[in-house]
Amino acid sequence: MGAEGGGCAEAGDATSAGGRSDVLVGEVRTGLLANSRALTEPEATAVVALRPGSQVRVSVRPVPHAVSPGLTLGVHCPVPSASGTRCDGLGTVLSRASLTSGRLVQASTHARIVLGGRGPAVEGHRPWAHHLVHPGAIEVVGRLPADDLADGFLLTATGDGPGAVLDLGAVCGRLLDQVQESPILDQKPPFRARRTRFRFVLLPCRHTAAGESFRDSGSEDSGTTFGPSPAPGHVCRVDFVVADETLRTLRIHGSGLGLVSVVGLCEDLALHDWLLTTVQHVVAGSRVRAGGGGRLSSQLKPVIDHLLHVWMPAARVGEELLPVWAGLEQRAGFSRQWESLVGWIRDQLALSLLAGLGDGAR
Amino acid sequence: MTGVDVVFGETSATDRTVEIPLSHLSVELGHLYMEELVDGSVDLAAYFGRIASWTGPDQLADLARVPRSRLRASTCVLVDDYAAAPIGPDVVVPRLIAAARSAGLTIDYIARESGCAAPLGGVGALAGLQPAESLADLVESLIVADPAAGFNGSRPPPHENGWLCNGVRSPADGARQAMRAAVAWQPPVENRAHRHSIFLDVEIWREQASGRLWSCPFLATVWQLLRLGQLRVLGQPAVTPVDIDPDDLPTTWTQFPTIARLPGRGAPFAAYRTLSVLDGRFLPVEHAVRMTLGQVAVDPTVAEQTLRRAGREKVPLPAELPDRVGHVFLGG
Repeated sequence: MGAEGGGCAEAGDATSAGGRSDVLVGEVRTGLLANSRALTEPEATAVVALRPGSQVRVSVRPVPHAVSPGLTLGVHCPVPSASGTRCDGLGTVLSRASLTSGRLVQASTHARIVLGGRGPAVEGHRPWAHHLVHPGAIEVVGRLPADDLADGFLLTATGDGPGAVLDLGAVCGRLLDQVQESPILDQKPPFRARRTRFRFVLLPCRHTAAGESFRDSGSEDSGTTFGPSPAPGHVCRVDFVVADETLRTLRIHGSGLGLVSVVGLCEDLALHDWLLTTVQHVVAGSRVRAGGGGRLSSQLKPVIDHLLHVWMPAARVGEELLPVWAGLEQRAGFSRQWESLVGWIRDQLALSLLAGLGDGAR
Repeated sequence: MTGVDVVFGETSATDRTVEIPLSHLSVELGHLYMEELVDGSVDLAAYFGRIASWTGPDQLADLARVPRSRLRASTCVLVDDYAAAPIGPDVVVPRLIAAARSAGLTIDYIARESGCAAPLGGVGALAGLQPAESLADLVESLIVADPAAGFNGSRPPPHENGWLCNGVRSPADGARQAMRAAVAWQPPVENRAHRHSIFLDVEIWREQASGRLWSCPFLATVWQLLRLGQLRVLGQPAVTPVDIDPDDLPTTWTQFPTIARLPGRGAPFAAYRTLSVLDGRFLPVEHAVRMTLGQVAVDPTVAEQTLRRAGREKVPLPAELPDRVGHVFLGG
């Protein structure tokens, strides 16, 4: 790679010959919809109909889910790098917004970053129309190790100003704002809940040869592949980190995985992580305030009304990615923690009922 | 217990995108301003005669990249009725048909430019979603602007108030005056220029008291996208040609279909590629059309369907839209 703080090495040196790898980077932001009650299906559809004439995907099982059309944005800027190597990328990022259960709102933005390619595409002479044929791909000029890019993306704060690197978070945040500002919403959420940020990267398996790649995000069903045809998709390694109160990072090493499925998995994980984080926060607050007497904390009511039934882990996750959920359940214990929280809330509810009965008997 | 493969699907969860019939080539037989049709300053027979020498079957088969025996080509004319239309279809259409026939040409479809800006009726009403207001609105929402170097997504994309360009504009006068020191003029820059810039800035629309006025080059871009069969509204074809009877034509263009099919054995209206044979004076308009087409991202499902069908038909087809559009510019 390039000298410290310097620019990219020219593509085409001996080490890069034929070596092309893709890294999927993305961010999901999750929050509580700014509305006093859950939206009906037509309302939810209208809120995420973000482009005239384009279809909204709606499903009702196991929980109602509406997804906006994919939105494309052109970018031309350096891509992230932990070492500070500056490599220019040109292409597009894809975003979409979704509503779950008419209650939770998510925006997600991703891009497939094509590293180490050669030829006119990455040298910057292809017309812009070329980049619109493969929406959601950013072609990078020069050489940048995949791990350097991934570390840079997951760990570095992004900003504005000349020479600033790709800022998927800003694209994602604006989309979430756009949905929250929909005139259909009354701007009165039943309780306050923080947004979470979930950044993810998908890297090739460490042991696979250079040149192996993922399926194109734009062609979920056509089986279009880049590089040699991969074996049925599998996941080699997953690292999930709760970085701070609102930021989580996920790093997946895998091969032959559909990018659309990976984005869907990350949206699902982000949703459940938000549920866990939010309910945990409310329960912690209630525990402090629980002053005996068996009265149900007023904060718990909206959680029972609006959130408890939304927990449906891995409902929309493809089979090849189920091991990721299973692994996270085993290590991070998502469902165990959720059940423990729900159990505590139910106990409070039971206690408050008993207290109420006691009051009545007196 | 044996494992059972369970596949669960919900039809509403997947996009349904309708395919439309496609010819190999859509041939536009010239374009005239409405004034020229009104004042009769153009000898229409001679005009079509010059076009005919560029649209022989061998030439068209070559351009479509298919053997002549397999060629499906349809011809069309776009009537310039958006700005003003002092004469109606009952006058213009028979005149065009007769002049073309005298040059040995058959017009299969006649479209009106105002249809590209007119409200879209019908489509999507059932789906409960708001369809695009007009074809022009639909296409504007598909624009993904070619980003200037340094654009990293941290700010919203610059909104140009109805303008689209192929690079970075020269800094505005106001910005220079705001700074105390005199700043030297800086040229505009074309993105990925080939050595030197050919900077192009195109007006897409202008707000007027009566509403938004779409520019001629932008409506011409909508026209090209219709001819390329790339526009859908909620998965349905944005426009479907309507049969008309040349002996029973309306007197106003609003009563005329957006795309009218004349009687005959015309091939499908939309095509893998287009050819427009035009006077050289339309070169700037078509330059703007090509630039705009290069910044339009159509529904990926439609794009993929078209490429897959071309592959099945063994028709070589470029993935980039501007490369599917051909022109012949005639001298005076």
